[in-house]
Amino acid sequence: MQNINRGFSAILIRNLKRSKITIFATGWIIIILILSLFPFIFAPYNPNATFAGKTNMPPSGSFIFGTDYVGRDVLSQIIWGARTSFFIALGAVIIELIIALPIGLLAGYFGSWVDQLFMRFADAILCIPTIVLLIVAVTLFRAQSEISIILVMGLVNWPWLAKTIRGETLRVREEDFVIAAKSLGFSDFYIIRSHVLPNIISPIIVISTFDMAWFILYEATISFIGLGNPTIPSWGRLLYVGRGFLATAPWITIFPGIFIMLTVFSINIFGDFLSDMLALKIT
Amino acid sequence: MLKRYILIRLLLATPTLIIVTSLIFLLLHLAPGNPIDVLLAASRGSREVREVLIRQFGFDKPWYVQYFLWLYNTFTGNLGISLHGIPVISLIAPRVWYTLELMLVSQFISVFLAVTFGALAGYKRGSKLDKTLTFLALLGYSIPDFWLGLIFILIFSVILGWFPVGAFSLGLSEVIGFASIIEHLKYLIPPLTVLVIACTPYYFRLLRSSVIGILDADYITMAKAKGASDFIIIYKHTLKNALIPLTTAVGTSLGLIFGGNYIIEVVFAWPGLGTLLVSAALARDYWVVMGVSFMTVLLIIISSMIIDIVYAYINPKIRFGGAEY
Repeated sequence: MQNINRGFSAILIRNLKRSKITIFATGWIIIILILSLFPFIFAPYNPNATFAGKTNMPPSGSFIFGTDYVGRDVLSQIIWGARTSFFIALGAVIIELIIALPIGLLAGYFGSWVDQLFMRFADAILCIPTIVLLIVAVTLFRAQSEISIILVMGLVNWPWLAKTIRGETLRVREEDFVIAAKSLGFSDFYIIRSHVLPNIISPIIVISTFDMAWFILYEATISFIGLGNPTIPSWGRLLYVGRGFLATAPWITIFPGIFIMLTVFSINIFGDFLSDMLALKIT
Repeated sequence: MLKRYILIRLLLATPTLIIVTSLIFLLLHLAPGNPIDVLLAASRGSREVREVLIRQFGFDKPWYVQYFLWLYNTFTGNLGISLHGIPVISLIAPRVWYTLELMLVSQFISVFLAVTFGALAGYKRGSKLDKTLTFLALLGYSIPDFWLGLIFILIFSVILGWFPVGAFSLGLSEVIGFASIIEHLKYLIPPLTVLVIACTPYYFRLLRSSVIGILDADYITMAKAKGASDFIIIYKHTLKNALIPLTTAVGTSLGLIFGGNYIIEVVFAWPGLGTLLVSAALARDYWVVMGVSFMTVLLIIISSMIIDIVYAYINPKIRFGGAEY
């Protein structure tokens, strides 16, 4: 195992160099990461600062991406919005993992009624479109702060991840080393922790990567339809604002959309690359 | 065999429906504040509406009575009353058709395009055509569909002026005649185009990979050895088998299809369920939000049953028995 791990980063870098798109995607993800960690360094203005008399200004030297209808700098909002998007997506993935990991592992490992109960429940939740469930939950719980949006998104989306974890656990459960460990009398907890989990970690990493892209899209959608927090700068908020000024100030809409698109695109490319590297088949 | 399969699918839908309705009920009780107040916020000001709702839904009774009244009312079509005093069901009913129209047409076109190009790309795997199509698909896959909608409005409605900017009125379709059909199409084409661009890449990727998988099968080698033309191999031998995973994919992504459809409806102000849901959510009109959610789940369950039946017909494993349930 150790040997494979040591070779892995070398293979990763060698393959990374081979594809131009993957290099671009990785580069873009790094840029977004840096922007979201240090927005205060890169943003030219305070994202919520309004410049009187400079409303709906087209892109220019002092406002590279223009300004919105109350005179806020679009570029600064995009940079701070990267932080909002990234941290909300990361938080939601963590919440999702906390819920899905134990449930998926238990259902897959023990099978029988635990599994049946879980499958019926997950199937029922999967019947409701995620975005509809999000709209209902955000409305009902008046989720406005970042923390509550994170919680709601994680709580709504976990069945997808749990189903994958369950499927992978089912696969590993039949492997010889698990059967051997069982016959040696190791406890179920020990087997799950030391034998099952390490063997299903790569699909979990890949799915979580793809989920980051989904959560960025979901957060943008929620803000875009007007259910987001109006005080937090985000890409979705810009699109919500820009929608009313398509004819007079299209730059409010165009630039944040390009950022969402490139980020989602890069994460998907990177996820594809990761799953190729880990030589997985994800269903 | 087929009848038994369909019957089992029908029976499986019942627990799903019960779990979902219970979930909606549970959500209402988990929401901050008293569920009675949450729901009755809708009837602020109107004492009569309030009394009608309390009588029908038993909000003065214990929770288990409320639960069964809730189920009874939901399944008999009583979905409560909106903020404006209109029964929710009469708000929902006319919009179902608009949602279904947009969705069915866009899904049909997407599947058609994906089948054509996916089979081609898979068959010519590694070629320039395949690489271009795959890249375009990945790009289309990553564009947020609502943003694509906004850009569409910007280019075709604002700059070129080909399509109307405003909302489509519900009454328009009642005028019968050629002019009204043209008018209808003017409003239908923009959201339709965006949905097709958003959905096709997803099916394309799936079809391409399943075609590639099938091309390695023995019966394809056999067909090639017999000297069958490319056209026959793709569209007769390969596609027939590639359609089975595609049907499954449509079935499992119904939630995504409905969700995407709803958001695009909002962008183009198409008078469907999505527009109703979002405007109700913004107005905190809980009865309407709950009603639309329930109707969505009902539509999804019905669609997934239809897809299961189609699947049973096209899959010989089920048609001739021996399949797992």
